[in-house]
Amino acid sequence: MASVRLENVHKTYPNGHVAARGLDLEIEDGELLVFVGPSGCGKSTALRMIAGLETPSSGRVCIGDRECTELPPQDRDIAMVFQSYALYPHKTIRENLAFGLRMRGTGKDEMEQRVDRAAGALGLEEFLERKPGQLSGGQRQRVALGRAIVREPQAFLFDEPLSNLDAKLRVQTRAELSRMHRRLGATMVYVTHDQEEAMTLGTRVAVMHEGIFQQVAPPMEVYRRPANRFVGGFVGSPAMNFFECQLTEEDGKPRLATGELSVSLEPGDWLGEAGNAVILGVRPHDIELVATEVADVPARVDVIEPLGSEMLIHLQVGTVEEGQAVRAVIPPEAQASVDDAVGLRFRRDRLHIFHSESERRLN
Amino acid sequence: MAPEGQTAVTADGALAGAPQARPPRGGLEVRDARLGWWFVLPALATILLVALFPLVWTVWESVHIHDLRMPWRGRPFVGLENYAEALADPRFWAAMGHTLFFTVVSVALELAIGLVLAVALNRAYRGRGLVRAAVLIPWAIPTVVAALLWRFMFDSQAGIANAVLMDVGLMEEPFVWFIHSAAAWVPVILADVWKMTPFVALLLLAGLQNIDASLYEAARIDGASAWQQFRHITLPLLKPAVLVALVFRTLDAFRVFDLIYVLTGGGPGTSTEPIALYTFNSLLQNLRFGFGSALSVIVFLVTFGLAMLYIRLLGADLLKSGS
Amino acid sequence: MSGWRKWLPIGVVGLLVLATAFPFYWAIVSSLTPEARLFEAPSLLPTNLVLDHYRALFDERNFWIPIRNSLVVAGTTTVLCVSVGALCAYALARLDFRFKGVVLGFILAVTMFPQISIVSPLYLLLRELRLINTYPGLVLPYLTFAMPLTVWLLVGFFRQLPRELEEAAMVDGASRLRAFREIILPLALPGLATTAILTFVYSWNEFLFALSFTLGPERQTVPVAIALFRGQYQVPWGQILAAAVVATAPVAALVLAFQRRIVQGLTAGAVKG
Repeated sequence: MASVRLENVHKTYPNGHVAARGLDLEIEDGELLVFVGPSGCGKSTALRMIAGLETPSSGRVCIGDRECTELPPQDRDIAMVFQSYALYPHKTIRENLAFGLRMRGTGKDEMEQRVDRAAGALGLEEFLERKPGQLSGGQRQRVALGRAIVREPQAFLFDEPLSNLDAKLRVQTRAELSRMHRRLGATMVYVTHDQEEAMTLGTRVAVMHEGIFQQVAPPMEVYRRPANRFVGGFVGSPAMNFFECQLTEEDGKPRLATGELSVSLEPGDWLGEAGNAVILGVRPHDIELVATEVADVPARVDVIEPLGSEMLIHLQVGTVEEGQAVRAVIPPEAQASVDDAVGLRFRRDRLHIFHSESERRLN
Repeated sequence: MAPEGQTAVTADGALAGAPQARPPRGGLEVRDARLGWWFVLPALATILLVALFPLVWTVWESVHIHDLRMPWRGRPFVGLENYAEALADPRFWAAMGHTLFFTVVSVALELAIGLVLAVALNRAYRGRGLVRAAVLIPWAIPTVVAALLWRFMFDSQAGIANAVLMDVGLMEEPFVWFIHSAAAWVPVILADVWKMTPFVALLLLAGLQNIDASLYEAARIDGASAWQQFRHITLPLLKPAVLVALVFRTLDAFRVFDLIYVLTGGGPGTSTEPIALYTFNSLLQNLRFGFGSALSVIVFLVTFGLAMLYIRLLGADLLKSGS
Repeated sequence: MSGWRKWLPIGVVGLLVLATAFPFYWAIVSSLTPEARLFEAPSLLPTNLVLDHYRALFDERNFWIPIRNSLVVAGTTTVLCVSVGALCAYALARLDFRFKGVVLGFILAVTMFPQISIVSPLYLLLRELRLINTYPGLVLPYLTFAMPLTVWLLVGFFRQLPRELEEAAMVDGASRLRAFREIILPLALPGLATTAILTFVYSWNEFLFALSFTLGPERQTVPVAIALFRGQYQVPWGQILAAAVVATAPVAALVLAFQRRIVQGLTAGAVKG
């Protein structure tokens, strides 16, 4: 196993599209790092540059101690699991598993041993003589994993490997992947657009947007302390509410205000000069319904969606024309009905405050 | 290397903005590009050698006098004299006229009948495979054979056409089709329509099958009649397929040679002679290579114009998806 | 569905099949009818069928010579085109290089070249090389239409194969060339077969070049031989039709066996616009 390092990697396609603008990252030996971001953010390009399927326009890619920026994929000693699995349809499962070993000139006995071991670990023994077309989606997915494991590569790359599975199987396989990572202690890079998948799998998560890593940190830190407005809005479900506010001063305490909203902070929380524009971010889970007198902002209940374990309510702050929609998640036993006038209170220790222009975190 | 919680924009990246696209030195793309040329080269060289080089040669010949019957005249350069001769030649214009007539009539018939067939084939589910095979055979057989079959059916003595027409009382005595300059076109056009309509129908059928069936369901819910569905869904969405068929067939019909060579020989006289046959006769019968080459170039230019139209209309996105 | 709506398409299709099949039926029946009876009032139902014309075709006219010629020429052309064209088509379908669009456009344009425009230089060239009336003298000109056709069809087939398969093979340690041989070629086999059949059919049917570049019966291909059939006093219809049936049989057999694939090959790319 080996570490993987990106140094100031840029990628501009011949058609002018910029997919990476300065990626810097060290993926440590044995780590499972997840690239997550909306489609078109450059996460797949980043992975493919590590695989050697694409070459950076500038910068370096290193695997272990070796620079391999321009090394073709066959010389890199990495394994990759594709979204479509890319099993060779004309070869049996055994041949599929053995292909990578055969290409690298592994001896016949060792090849058989390793194929059998991988097949055993994934429960594929009975399918070895079948063709991929005769397998179910979940079984094919396991073959794709097996083809990677059997190689014992320097690093594993995963390109949205679960997106073709149904929801139940996806959760199951996710856990299986986690176990596999622990057992092999392997370096893994994993690409997904699903932030929930990223959070549950990664030892660290790299949130990508517009060809840049917006934040690289352990999952809980990304959730609790998003580095900028984009990360705050992308990670977590339902998505964070944002309010464009003014920073003011009242009784020596800093206060955030816009329209009917007024959030007072502790005296220590100075975030710049009074009069500065900032963005306040509040997760739906950090909003409580309270009496209007003690509220940070009054609101009107618009739609209620009971989810069983909790309730998602859509609220309207201010008028329909000038106000904004806010989502809050409240306990199922809370009393609320449509058109009620309610007060909202934000948990003070869970506020996210961003600079209005750079959108970077201030608190 | 992004320290925890920090946005990993390097000073360099932030200052440089969008970086310059630098061609990679030796990555997969560069290797692929090199390999690509090696793979393409043999076939491309062959095509250049056997198709493009002769074409250039034809142009060269067309501005010289080159008469194989009179080798002592050598090959003097005469500029555009051969072209001038062609453009002043009534037989050239007649041949162009015949070609145009044949193209317009046969392509129009093939498209009209082909469309009806395609719609019918699209509706009739049973035995579609069998029908498809049946209609493919005329397309696949040598044109020479098709021409001979129809020549036989329109033979003045042995032909079944005359027998049927006399049986139903439309004719008193056997009619000699191939000595009438107008009547001779009948077997020619019938033969072409018989051979090529299935091909047109298959192209259009593929187009029909590409149309999302839910569109028709939606239209039916909106109360559209069968004719309205055809008019407002089928026809507009079938337009690309119709265009392909149209241009394929036009290009083909414009170079018609085998069919007429065998069916009428261009006769009676030269009254069904198309431009390709006139060119062939000038070259290999009269051995006038200079003049014949001028005719060849004219045929090429007309076809090239049509081909460009084809690429403009349909090839553009094929080429785009390839690059 | 009301009655006429259901039956009208079936009727139209039935009519089509009849109209398509009749000339063949008539040719087969006539080729089995004795020469003398051909010129009597034709009857739709055959009586007294004989194989005389077929016997004469092979015994007196040596029709096996044009068949051999056609097989050699069409076969060689097909093998050459598919083997050289496959590499080219793969590169055009999968590898990125400069001027790829130009090459692709050029090849598409050449598929539409009118044969008549290059007959004269090819004739002069072949005469210069003393290749008139030889097999190479036919194969070489046949490459002009067969090579671009083959490449164009194969590009369509290669594009249908998922790109990830080769990427997986390369990550697995195969070079581009090895991935092509081990993964792509086996998967493209049906496409290669279809292309080979179409190329063979086009070459088998070709007339203009075969007419222009052969001199006598010993190198004539089937279409030329049939077209130039002459009788001493009258048109030998019986033998001509027998020859037509023989010339059609192999193509008809190929088409029947591979019809689904052929339709795919013919319509691929053409209807996506």
